[in-house]
Amino acid sequence: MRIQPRQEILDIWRATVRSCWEKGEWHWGGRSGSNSINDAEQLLTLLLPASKIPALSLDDPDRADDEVIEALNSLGGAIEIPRRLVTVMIDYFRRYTAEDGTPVFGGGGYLTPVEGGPELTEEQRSQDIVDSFAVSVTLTLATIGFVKVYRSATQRRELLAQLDELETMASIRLTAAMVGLLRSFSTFVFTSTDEYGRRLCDMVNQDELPRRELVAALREQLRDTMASLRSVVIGSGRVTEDLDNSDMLFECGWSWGIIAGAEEVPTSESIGRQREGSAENAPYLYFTVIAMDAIEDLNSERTRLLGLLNEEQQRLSRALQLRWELTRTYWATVATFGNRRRWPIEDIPWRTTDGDRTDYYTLQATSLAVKGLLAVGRGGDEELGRIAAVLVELAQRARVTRRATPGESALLVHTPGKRVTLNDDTSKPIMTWVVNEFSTVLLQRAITVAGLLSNARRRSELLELADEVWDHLVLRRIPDGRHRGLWDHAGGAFPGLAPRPEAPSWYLTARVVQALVNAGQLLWDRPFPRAARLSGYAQDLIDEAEYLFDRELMRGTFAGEAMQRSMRSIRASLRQAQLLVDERPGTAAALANTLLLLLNDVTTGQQKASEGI
Amino acid sequence: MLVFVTSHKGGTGRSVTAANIAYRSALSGRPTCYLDYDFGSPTAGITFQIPDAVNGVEGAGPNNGGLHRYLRGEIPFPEQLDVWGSSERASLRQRPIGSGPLVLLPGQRNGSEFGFTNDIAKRCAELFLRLEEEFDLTLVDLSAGRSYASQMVLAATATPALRKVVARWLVFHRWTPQHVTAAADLAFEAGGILAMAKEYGHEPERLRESLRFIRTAVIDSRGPEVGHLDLAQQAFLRKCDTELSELARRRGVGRTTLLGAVPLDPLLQWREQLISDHDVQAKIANVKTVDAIVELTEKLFDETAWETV
Repeated sequence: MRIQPRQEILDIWRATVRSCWEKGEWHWGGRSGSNSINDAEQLLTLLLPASKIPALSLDDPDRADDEVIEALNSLGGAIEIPRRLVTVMIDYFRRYTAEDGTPVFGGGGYLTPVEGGPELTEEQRSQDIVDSFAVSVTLTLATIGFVKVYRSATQRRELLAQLDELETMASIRLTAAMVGLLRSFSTFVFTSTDEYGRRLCDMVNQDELPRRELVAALREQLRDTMASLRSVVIGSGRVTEDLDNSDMLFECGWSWGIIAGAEEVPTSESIGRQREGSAENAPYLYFTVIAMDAIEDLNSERTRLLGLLNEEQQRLSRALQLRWELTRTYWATVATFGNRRRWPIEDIPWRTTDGDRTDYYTLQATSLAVKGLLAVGRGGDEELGRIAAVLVELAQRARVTRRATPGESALLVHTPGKRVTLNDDTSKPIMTWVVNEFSTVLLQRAITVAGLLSNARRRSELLELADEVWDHLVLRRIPDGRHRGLWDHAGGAFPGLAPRPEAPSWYLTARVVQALVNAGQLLWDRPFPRAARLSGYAQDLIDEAEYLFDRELMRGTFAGEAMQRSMRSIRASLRQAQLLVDERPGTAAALANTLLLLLNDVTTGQQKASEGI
Repeated sequence: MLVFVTSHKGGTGRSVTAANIAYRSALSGRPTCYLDYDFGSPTAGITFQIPDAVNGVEGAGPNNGGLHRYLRGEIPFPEQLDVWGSSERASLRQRPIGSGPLVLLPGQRNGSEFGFTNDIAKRCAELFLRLEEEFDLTLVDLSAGRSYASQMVLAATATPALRKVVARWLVFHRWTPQHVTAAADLAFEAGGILAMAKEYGHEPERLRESLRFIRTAVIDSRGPEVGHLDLAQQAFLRKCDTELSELARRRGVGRTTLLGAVPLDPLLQWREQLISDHDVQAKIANVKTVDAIVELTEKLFDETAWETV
């Protein structure tokens, strides 16, 4: 892997501080102005690596790494950095809490009018968005984890009071975001013969089965999921239609916001008012993926180990976990349905049931498919290899790893991006959400899937793709000015595609950081996959060296003080090689090689001597 | 401001670093004085290169003499030597423009460590008060370990008149496991500074807040100075450094109680003298050492460096 996560993250930190911190103040906002999502992304650029990679932690001034402190030194020294961050975090939570104490999750400038439609009203811009719920889950977990560690590292009374306030606000926002996610989950039921059903069947029917047979097979595979859908009782997404009818199909996942008519979720936490929703009751692939990742964070080992959730949140988290599992199984089933010729996900581009089609959706579906494959024990190298091939092809099609011709429509996915239309409950478009995260998501997926592969060769092939995507992303960094080193300057990779930006896109910068964190975890947490043949080879070398060594010992070659030292060092190396043969067979082989050469010197010396007589 | 300088044992470079801090403080325009409270071996005159005060002053009669005689009540006031006027070192002789007075209060030649009485503590307090009026920085170099000198100044600073004066403690130690442990021991354990302070009526928590550590003769395990070592040695050094940091953190000698670090410098090590800017120009001394000492001096006066973590 050519990507150096640690160095790159530190560079991004330097750039972030340069861009946001001026004259002792933090400046919110970026290309689309300041809103609850943008500002959270801005903070996560710093907090996400700090909370996920131990070597980059910021929460204990005594423990922080020197290089980390140097990177952030315009915020102050080791002691000031976490203090400043606390004030910035408090500022964030205050900004996005309404006067009555209700956390707000508006999309602000991230939302745009439908084509030819009127400007958005303030009310529309402040509507709760699933993206904001999701990013808030990640941000609040990082915040609470930060507070928990930092609290034990300080004695200052006013700071402790600040930390209490911060934790309370973060905890309330976390609960509110979880409730929001429960109220934006959607189960969309349709018949196999209406337009949605037909589109779904067309998409999954790679084996060209007769329609009736296909529907029956799909329903058979989804039988357990359909049964479990009955357990969805709080919030939104409850099934009212008769799923037992053999003609019925469904989709599940997350809509873009609180679903119209979604019931309030009873909770003992004081999260303020639960606002009325207005979103269409249908899953949106983009919001589904983003919600799934956030819920994964809620159930992560770190969350459990640090005890980041209170009891009420654990209850809500279990409810979300159920929806997460249903969604995961559903999408994995659909994406890898039938397997004689090819999986639906290999039939690029992905077509959604509402008639949209784009490579970007294929990319999103890979994320859900991988989660699903792992869950059902199908995450072998064969299956994951097929996903990897899809990623390689997507990179080519999006002109990330292939040269582009100017004006090509494939470039639209990079800038301005895929326009996702957000509908109201009557399926009337009211706003659009522009997504230009393709390359960063591709990088994340490539790294994640690479980490799951157990074959070293395949893994390094996929990491090669990650490196190429990274090369592409590096070209898209803002090259100069105060915001240099941040994203996104698409014109850097595709000359003439976009003018040089005035302000950074925190949306993309945070996603780059997320991908780098994944890469860091790959190096930090995951063992290197063993190559079976290499271990065997190393073992053979060690066996030969051991035999030769024992024979020389038997002959008494090593008697005498001078030779004793060599003997001891050979024996020590031999032992080390034996210890390493399972975990690092390459190193063990290299050690055995040097031993063999040494022993060869001994035998050659003896031969020469006998020649002379 | 009163600054007390101590270390757990000898050989940390405490005195020479403290003298350099005093020198830098005076250079920055602050009236500064340096008190040699290392009664067993009053050698500050060597560091400042004042011939008359090598091993303390010879003073006799009713008016002359060093700190020993004053504290015992034999003379009304101890001798004060103007470093700018009496050093035999040319570069110190000309007082730089804009610098403040730099005064040494030496010990008595052949003086020795002595037990202390309430009278001695009272005289000590009077001396500090007088110096506090005249100087911005009064730097008191105590002897190493748990000494009578430390007891004396703790008793003196506990008197009502001195309580209002800002007093800070610097504990010097080298960057090794033994020295880290010993420094923590001297500061926090039984019979240490905090414990002694409590005995004399100080609030231990307040004293803890005004106590910082200084690491001396530090080799940067990441710096160019280890470049000539083997890869394995470098990796080993780094790991040791990390483990040492963790030990220091556990013992309360971590980064949050650290005022600064002075790198290993041959000039400090072998000559034990003040490092002038001229030494740096002549490339005898390292600019990094001077930077470190200047930074330490500034931090002494920088309130934010003394806030509680």
